[in-house]
Amino acid sequence: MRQVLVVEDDPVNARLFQMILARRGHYEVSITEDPDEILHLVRSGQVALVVMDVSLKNATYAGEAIDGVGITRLIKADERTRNTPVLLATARAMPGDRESLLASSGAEDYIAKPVLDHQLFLDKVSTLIPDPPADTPEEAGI
Amino acid sequence: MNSLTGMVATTNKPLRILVVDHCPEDREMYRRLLGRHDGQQYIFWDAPTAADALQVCRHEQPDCILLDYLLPDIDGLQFLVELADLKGEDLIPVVVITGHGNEWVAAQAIKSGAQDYFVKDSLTQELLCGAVRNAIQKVSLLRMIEDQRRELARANDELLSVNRNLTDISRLKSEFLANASHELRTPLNSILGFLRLVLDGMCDSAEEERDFIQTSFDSARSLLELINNLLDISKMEAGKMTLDLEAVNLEKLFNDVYLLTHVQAQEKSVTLEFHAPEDGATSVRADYGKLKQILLNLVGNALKFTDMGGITVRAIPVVERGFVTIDVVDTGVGIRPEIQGKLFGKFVQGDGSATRKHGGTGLGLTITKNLVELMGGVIQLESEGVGKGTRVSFTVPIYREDEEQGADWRQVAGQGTAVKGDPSQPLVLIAEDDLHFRKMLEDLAHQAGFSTVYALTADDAVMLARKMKPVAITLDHALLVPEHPVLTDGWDAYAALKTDANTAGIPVIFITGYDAYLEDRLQEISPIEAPRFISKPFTWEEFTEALNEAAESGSTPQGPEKTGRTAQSP
Repeated sequence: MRQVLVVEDDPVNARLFQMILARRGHYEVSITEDPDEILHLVRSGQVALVVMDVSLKNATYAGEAIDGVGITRLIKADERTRNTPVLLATARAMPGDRESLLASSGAEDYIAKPVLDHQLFLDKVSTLIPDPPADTPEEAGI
Repeated sequence: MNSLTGMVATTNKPLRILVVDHCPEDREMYRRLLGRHDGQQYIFWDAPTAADALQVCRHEQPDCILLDYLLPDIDGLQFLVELADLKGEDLIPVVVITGHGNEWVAAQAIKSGAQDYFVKDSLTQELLCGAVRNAIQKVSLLRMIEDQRRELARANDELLSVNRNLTDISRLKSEFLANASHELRTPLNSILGFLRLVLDGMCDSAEEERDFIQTSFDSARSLLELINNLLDISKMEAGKMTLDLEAVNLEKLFNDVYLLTHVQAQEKSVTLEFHAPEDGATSVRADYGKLKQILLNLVGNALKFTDMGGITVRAIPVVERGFVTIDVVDTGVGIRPEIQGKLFGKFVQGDGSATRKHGGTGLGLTITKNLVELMGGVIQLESEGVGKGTRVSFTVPIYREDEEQGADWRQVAGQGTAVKGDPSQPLVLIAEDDLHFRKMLEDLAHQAGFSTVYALTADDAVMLARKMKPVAITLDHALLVPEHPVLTDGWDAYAALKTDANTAGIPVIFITGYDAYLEDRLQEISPIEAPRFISKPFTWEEFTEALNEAAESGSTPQGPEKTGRTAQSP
């Protein structure tokens, strides 16, 4: 089954996104902040959408520090993975951040932390995923 | 600089004229004509050729040159070119003498730098004296214009540098705001998110509901810690952090910190030891609450990153230098060398699972460093690498009975400094890391009618000079070397002060006991002007006199009423 991949360096926030997606949207969720693993999972075709944090304190790729913007660019640069939608979920929410982060990363959409409206978040996720999740749609989005 | 104006105005000083003419009769005629005029005295050099004239100019600075256009070796125009090459910006007034019908030559000569001309055939005494006076005045005016142009350029440079600093400050403030916003939103996302799930009945069980609430509560607590840290930082940066300095007994302090931390150590099964100084009598001069905050922060960090072994806190008095070193040593995960220097920066955290597990704001060490420096100490951090443990050492001044008697402490904008003495008096910056000697210098300066502020390191001295604009600075050539210094000694500080437009005008007095070493260092800093010196030992009078002289000689760049002083006529 296709899953939502949550990329998040703060474990409490990672768990929160997992809970929102699982309980409210009935998505299957996997969590990682390791760039190599992210790329591997997205290439495998199992990932329907990536929820991507921008600031990743511990992430390195090919020996260099990398953030969510950099990983999204890698996803968008690869033929095999460029169609996988990426939703930036970030605490970088100063005026202008939305536009500049979307432009520099090539991600499909953006949501600012704190996420107050869980339904808005889920709407963004479901709009970006071409096929609806396997679970019963009437339970989703309560 | 404006002596020529003076010479023309006062007739008692002789004017020195270089007469360049191959004909001895003509030279004699000029002497005669000039010599009888108005009681002005003249001194003459004779030069039959251009080469002779240039030879004179190589060593002398004539007040005016009388130049016959027709010379046996080169013509007058060529002479003017070579004179300009020789003297550069040191203009010498030149009056060109031409034959009848050669006025176009005169025009060329004036284009090439001569000030005036006359035709030899129609020469009169009035004409000659007038031309000389005219040329001298013209050059004097040119020099004044040049001085003013330089003054303007300097003021312009200063403005540019101030502007650059302001741009930097503004950029740093925006960065801080963006970082703070990011850091505040992260725990808020967990707090609001988990509470929303609870409120919407999204939990599987009562246990899970409790767990979500507990998670929100923990995030809220770390948010509170973050807010307190941010407030501390902005208070420090605004210079509003106040200190309540007193004699702090280290044994009591260590007991208090132990009580607050030993439970956590027990839970992690690591050892936690505190060693106060052996004699038990050493008190430090510090703000009790802030010193406790420093130690809790460092011990807290050590506990976070240590899973095996333990933590040792040890105080070592360095009485002859007037401070106590406090070491916090752990056997924990250690720190990669590349990031050791960065950890005192704002929002910087170590990497790895321990940081991830324990969170933290990335502000603790920044605050700790600021607090240490605010109380007059330095801090450094070292680790031999990952898995090798970490040692953080900082210094606190030893408390001295006499120091506290009637001392007037006033916190000022800035880190690690207080103005001592009567704050309405002009301020002297004393860069000296030896406590006893510094105390003596401070007392002397107070008696001489100055207030003082001190710096222990070269970096601090330069930072304080920029910030507080003292009327004078005394510099010890050897200063305390902190971790990752930018500047290592008084000489570096001197070079930095003199090459920064903001501080170049502040007079510096070097205090040194190593005269043999002096020559070498003077060579190194050339072409910067040499500083004033006082050699140890010196008397009260010598020091006071040096201070007063320095304070009077200084130019305060921010005082517009003083700019342009060099351009005024006597």
